[in-house]
Amino acid sequence: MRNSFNTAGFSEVVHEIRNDPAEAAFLYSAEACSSPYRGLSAKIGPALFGTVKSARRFSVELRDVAPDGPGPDGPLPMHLALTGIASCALTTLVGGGSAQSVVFESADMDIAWDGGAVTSRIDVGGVPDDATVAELVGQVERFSPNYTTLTRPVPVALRYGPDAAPASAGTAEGAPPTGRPAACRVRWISGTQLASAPLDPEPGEELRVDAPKQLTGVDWGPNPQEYLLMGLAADVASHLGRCARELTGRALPWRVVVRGTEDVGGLLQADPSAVVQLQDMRCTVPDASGLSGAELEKAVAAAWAASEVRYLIEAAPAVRLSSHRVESCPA
Amino acid sequence: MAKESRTAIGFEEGRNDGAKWFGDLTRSRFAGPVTPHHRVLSRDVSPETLAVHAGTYEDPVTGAVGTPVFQTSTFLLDDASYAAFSDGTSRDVPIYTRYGNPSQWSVQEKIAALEGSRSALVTSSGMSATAGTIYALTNAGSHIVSAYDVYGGTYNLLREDMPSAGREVTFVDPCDLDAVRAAIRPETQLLFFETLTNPLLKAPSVRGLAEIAREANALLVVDNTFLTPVNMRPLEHGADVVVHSATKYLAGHSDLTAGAVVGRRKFLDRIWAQTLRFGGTLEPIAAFLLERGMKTLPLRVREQNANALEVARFLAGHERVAAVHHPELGGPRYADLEYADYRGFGGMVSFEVRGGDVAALEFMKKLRIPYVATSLGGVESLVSMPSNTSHSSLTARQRSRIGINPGLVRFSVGIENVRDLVRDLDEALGAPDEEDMR
Ligand SMILES: Cc1ncc(COP(=O)(O)O)c(C=O)c1O
Repeated sequence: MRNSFNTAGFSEVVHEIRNDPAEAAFLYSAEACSSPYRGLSAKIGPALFGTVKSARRFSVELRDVAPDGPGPDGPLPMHLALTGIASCALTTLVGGGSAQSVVFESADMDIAWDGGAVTSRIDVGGVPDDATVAELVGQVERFSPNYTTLTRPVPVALRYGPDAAPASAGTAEGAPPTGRPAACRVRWISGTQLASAPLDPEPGEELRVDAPKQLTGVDWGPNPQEYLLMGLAADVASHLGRCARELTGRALPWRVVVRGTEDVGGLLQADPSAVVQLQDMRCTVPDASGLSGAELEKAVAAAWAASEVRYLIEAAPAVRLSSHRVESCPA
Repeated sequence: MAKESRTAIGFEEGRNDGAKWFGDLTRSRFAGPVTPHHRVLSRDVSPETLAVHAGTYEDPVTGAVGTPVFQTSTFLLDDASYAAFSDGTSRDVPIYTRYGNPSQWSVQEKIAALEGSRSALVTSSGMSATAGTIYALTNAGSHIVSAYDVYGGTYNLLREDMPSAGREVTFVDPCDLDAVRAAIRPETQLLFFETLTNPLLKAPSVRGLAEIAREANALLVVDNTFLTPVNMRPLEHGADVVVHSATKYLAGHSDLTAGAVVGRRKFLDRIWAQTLRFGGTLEPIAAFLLERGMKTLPLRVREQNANALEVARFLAGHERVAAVHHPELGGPRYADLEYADYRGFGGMVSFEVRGGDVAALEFMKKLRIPYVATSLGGVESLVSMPSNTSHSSLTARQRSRIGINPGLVRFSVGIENVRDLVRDLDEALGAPDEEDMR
């Protein structure tokens, strides 16, 4: 298969959802835990691709986001989110190129969050001319679900408490929350497989990205949407631990569940009117940890406002994307 | 005669060089694979006609009325082969027999037609079909629900291979829909049940299981070996995928080992890819034998339905027989059975000989027509005991807990004259003696 990318499989999905639009509704979920004893971790839940479930088991151990947290020791939640955005962009680039019979030697993306804006750079190898690179990158800007989730405002509904009631505090506005800068270098390997190295500033342990086997991948890792969702869940969970401790003096465990949908008709342009970016994003904090209603509300509102990943998704921050063609090495 | 073409229908339409984006691509999931030379009949045609004609390869060169045996391991490479490699469509071009062969495509089309589907896959055995299906349709991290009395080979696959493959399995009584529902988890991805079980002939509600699967966004896979599409088409009742040990009724002559999977191509293509990686290819010669055997499937199964019912009725009236299991004898186990969903129950009858396993063994030795052998579904009657064959690894207590009592005999009724079979049974059972009757 060209670039190891199963274009026939994607073509089949295009025609399947033209016949049956219900098959275009993809649902992703992720969950994070922050525990005073066990640290910060995130995992994915079962995904639904139209009527087909994909239940894979993937989890990541993370580093606390607190400014006084440990140094390089596993990725930050922001690294997961940046991995999700860049890996989606590269999969879109290579997939779109494969559909038009482009053969790639390499496709890499550096992506950095500096606390206020995102800077990214795509390097493509093996493509014959700059015009093709520009066309492929243009397709990323229009059709990549996670890249457009970054560049367009996508609201995330917040619910919390024992009844998971909608939160009035779910609208944090204004300046970006202050946190740590973070960057990743994401490398396309083959087909839907990519590897992402958090830069801190030296590359850390790689995170594996892949499509599930229901969608032409081989289950090598969570998919790009799942990374973005895990990043959000982990970021909110981590801030909750810190905010609740600051407010009440108590170190408590927190669980945060995030879900979001994708209309894959947008990515594939099976339906040109379909929305490309993620939709129906919902973040739920189901466990009240025994705090009073008022304490819980304050802690959740503070964590929500402090979450940079939440800001990235909701606020459409400034994004700079550049692209470069890498000359083929002579054989 | 159709235009000569060695690629599957739809393959050429799916090739396009001018695409700029996914939305411009033209390949869709269609039926088959079948070439224009394979006979494709409407699924409304009666089973007898489908069994004879569906899938036949009408050779454009010789005009042969039967499918030639494409006994080759490999095929000439051409433009289509290279396109298939680069686009990921190698199921649709004969390239290498492990990937696909027109002999396999013929019999696949026949099985698909009989099950009322558009696509099927044949494999080297029933277990290869089952293993390929379960692996392909689940991910590491998922959960499977199945029956505690599912066929022993399937049970062993689920119990011994799934944990190390990252799939968890819960075993339940297939007829207890509440228990099936209670076993469902968020990560449940597959329900695997048999439409008629071995050896006790339990007949779970396929509709009920399909509803539970649908609610859980899980797939329902059923093993339809014992019923065959002649007696039930489970896809019409909501199953997603059907598997068969084609070794049994489909082939029908106890002369080959084969398996089959039927369902939408969306699933079948993944099962095909899994099966070719596992190496579960059906040899072309075996595909030919299977296709030939299947031409008489409806005739054989109708005869076996009738013969088994007559044998069951005879046994139910015999004083040396303590219990008979057959859906058409009724009883509390079949109280909720939707009889209208079945056109028959196949050739299997199970019964308990009074006097336990020793008496049952003696009885089997006295039989003159059936062979004492494992397997089922052939034209010849076969008889065996689950306690010393399929269920021998269970303890006596485990066996009795699932209803396999001492003296249980499994009789696969063939197409012999049923009067001969009944006379033989009568003589082998003999007159009851004092000891046995206690
Ligand atoms: C119900 C059922 N399914 C599957 C199988 C396995 O089939 P095979 O022996 O062709 O691998 C059998 C074999 O006895 C069976 O009875």
